[in-house]
Amino acid sequence: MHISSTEVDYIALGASSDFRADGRHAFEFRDVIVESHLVPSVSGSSRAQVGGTDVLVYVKAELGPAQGKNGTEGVITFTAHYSSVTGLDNEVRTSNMLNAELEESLNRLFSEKQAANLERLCLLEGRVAWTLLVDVTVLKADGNVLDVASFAVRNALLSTLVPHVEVIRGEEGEADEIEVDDEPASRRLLLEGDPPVFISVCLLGSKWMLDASQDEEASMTSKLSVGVNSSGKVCGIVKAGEGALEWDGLGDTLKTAANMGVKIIEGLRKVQASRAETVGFFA
Amino acid sequence: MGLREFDYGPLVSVERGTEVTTRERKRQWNELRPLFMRTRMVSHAAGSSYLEAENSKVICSVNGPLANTGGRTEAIERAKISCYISRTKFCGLEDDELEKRATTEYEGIVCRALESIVRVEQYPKSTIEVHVLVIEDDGSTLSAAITCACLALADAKIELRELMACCSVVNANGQLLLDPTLDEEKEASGSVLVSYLATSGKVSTVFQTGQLAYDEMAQAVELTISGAREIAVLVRNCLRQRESKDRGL
Repeated sequence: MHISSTEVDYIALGASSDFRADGRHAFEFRDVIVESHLVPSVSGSSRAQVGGTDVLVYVKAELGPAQGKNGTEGVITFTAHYSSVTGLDNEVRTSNMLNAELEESLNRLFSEKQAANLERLCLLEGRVAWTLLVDVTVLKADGNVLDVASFAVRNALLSTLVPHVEVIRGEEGEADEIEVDDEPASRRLLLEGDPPVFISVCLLGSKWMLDASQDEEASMTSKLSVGVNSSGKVCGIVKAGEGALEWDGLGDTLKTAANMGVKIIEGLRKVQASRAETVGFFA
Repeated sequence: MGLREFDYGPLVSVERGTEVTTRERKRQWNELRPLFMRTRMVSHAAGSSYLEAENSKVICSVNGPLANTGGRTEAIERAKISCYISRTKFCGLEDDELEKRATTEYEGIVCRALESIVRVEQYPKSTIEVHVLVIEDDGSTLSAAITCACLALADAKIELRELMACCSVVNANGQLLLDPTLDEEKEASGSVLVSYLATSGKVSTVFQTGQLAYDEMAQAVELTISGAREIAVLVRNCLRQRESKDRGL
């Protein structure tokens, strides 16, 4: 998106006097709308909308070879792409950089051992584990795509249902085997962990703000995306934007971001709880 | 113009002990590896540099500013920096590790870091190409790439706002280690990479992975900045030495 230098000045000056185009405060988030179980043909799906930004995520669970040093871990693989209807410039959208950055940022945040509890995905040590293929599609970009995508991914991972798999212990000299129960009703939630989310703060003029809209993002000089988990711990920082920043004064801003992350995770968890129960006559 | 005779960059020496410590060669947790830098490595590039920290070796060449061709929608009033990172087959990583390296993202990080120091508005309608080749990877190569790219840009006489140095720290079993080797990187549960602007004291890249409480994170960043500050002095000395050699002093 191209925006003139006059517009940039206008938005940055507005930010310095705590005035944003949509009337929010600097540290106010837009409303977050999250839905799950949208796509019936996959193991887990979720859609998150914040303002005009709209991200759809689906998770496909497969049985694959176990990974990790001792073969005790499953894998989560991300693919991310900006859909052609995002409202971005075609040239920007098709550049590898944009997709790769989204993909790698999410990959780093969620593949972290503590985040996803990858060992839970392992079924037979050294042999079989769940492989999660996470597909992130940005349907519409209106600023703060990374955060919204992380909300959707968190929700999709936590609502992923997989068939019950029974491990049959092999008799002496024989290897253990697994049996997959294809009864739909016996599907269970795969993860119960506590994946983090990204919260981004943007520097406009001299002020930091949360949840920047597209115009604000186009006029910011630096953006820090902070991974936050439910206990407020920092799980990764990526800086975007070409501006340099003073590290010393950043503490409060980062803490504000962390607090917002905790709040949002709390909110997401409430949505989660109401959805997790199975409904239906024979359930 | 062929290669000139070796103009040795600044070296930091470490005491070599025989005693076995957790780090190789008795290095302290907050100690950098000895660094060697020089410029003018590639004779046909506008500017180039080489950086070596023991077994991590990175070479960087800069082409440009070149005239922009095509791409009507790109911003024309400023230079575009494109960065390419490649690795040799024998760089020390296994094939599957090579695949896992998020090269595209790393290229983006280097680009962004350089955009914060290059006076892009001085080069409208042009592209500055930065090619980084990791000859040998023994850890901290992304930070080495950024420092090296800054040296190469200065060597190519591209206008810079200030010099930049980059450094990284890993957190291995609760212990912070400055300038990690590849083994230390593999063991680590988290890492911090910061590029530090030598004059203004600001940071232009912050890249952290792994889970840390806020205070631990701030501490790790402080340590990284202190390491980068040391490197920044070496970068400056390296350029100064070359300059005085050019003038025949």
